[in-house]
Amino acid sequence: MIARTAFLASFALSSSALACPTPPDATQLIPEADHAPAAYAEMNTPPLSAPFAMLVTFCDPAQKIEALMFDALMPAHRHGMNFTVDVSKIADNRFEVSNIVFHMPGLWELQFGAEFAGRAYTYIAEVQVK
Amino acid sequence: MNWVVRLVGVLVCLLCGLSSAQADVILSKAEIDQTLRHGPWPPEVVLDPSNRVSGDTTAISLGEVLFSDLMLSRDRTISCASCHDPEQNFTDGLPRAEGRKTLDRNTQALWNLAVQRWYGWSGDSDSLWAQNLTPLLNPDELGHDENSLRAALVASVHRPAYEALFGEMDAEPAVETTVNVSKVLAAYIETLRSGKTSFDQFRDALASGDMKKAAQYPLSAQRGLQIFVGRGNCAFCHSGPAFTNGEFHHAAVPFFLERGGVDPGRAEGIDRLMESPFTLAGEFSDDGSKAGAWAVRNVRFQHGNFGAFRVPTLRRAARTAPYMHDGSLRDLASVIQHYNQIDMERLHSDGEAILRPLGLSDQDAEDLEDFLRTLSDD
Repeated sequence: MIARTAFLASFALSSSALACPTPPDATQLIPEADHAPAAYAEMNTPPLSAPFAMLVTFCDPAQKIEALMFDALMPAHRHGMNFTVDVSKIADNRFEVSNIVFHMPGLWELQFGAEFAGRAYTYIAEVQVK
Repeated sequence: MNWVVRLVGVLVCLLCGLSSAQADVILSKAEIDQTLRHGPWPPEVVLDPSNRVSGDTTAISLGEVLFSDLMLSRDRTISCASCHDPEQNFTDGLPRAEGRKTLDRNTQALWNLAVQRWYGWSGDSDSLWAQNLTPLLNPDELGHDENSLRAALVASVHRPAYEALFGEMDAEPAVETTVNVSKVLAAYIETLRSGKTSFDQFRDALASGDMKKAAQYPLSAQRGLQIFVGRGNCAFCHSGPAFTNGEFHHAAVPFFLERGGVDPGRAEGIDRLMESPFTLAGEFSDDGSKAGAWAVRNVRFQHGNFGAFRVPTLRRAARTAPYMHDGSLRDLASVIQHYNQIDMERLHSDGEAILRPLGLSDQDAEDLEDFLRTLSDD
């Protein structure tokens, strides 16, 4: 767990994520590549076993993200979600991910894939569900 | 001076009383927080937008009568109430249901079924009215087809009440009649709600900070609750006010059938759901916005669905033995020992990593059972 936290922290420190004007309550997305545009997700406290939505924003206006993929899993339980989500682009570099259902309490790892000019950026974040 | 002494005395007494009461609530702050998430109860009554007669008093009355009417079976020998006996908490006390033959699964009780996400052990349906079609049309249960059910209703004393709700039957297609009968039954069944239990009194007292009242909850039940939300891992699946997350999990119960083959559980449920015209995404839903259809549209087939069954509510569970999808565990003590000594060989090797032997002592097991019983004492 400590190694995993250090791994996440190293991504956070080495990426351009720190430059993103993230709203105070937003969740910073941790990119796996240094050159990935900074990104964050905005959501209310995820309800347990009920659908909810989040907004995902990519900060670099020079890189227009064309598509977003989303998935989530519980590493400790070795399972993912029982539903696929719906993703819709609501503005340049801004997407809504809806019908997310975290059906068990605990730590969920969020996985994002963003497509830009034939390249794919991946991001992760974590959220605790009560 | 006198009043100062009296005031100090009163304060000391109050503090003593508070301390004494708090001593009888043994939950930690974290455990209290977890406990609060299992309420409040009962929940707000919500009508089913996919059923236009949900909440309609005429429909509820007709549904209650039809529930026990033998005309709902093709050979007029059984009714819904034959298995879902109102005198036995709307179940039958048998390991597996007896329809026209012995079925593969246990008869589930009908408490608190209003507006859930899935219905039945394998979630074949996404609405209560759609679930009612299964026994109506299953040859091994009530055994009707759409035409025979329509004919039975046309000839019955219930026709006027039915037509008051849905209009003239003469030109109505049989499938429409069948769905309407299932909606009338749903209107009745969704009124079956369990009440406040001693657990709810405890939970509400904690929520209001009334520790003196909370301390009336038995210590053994509190210890059982600590296991439930803690090392027992029970609350992972039995979450929320209804003590279920409404989803499907593998509980290491054998899924081999007596007649050979296996019960695929949720895997088969999703297949049936995908083939059904009677979902919230279909034309028989009365909800024009199709608001609830996201679940059937987005449900994800996974390997782990095989042998997984819907997590049942624990409310009134103490009254509805036997347990598990095949009724193989005869009482609550057996269920606790099932999870206490769970056979890991029966779980998917690549499935969820949630269950493991719990290592409960005999006292722990008794405490957990005492807690579970407080979910059924309304």
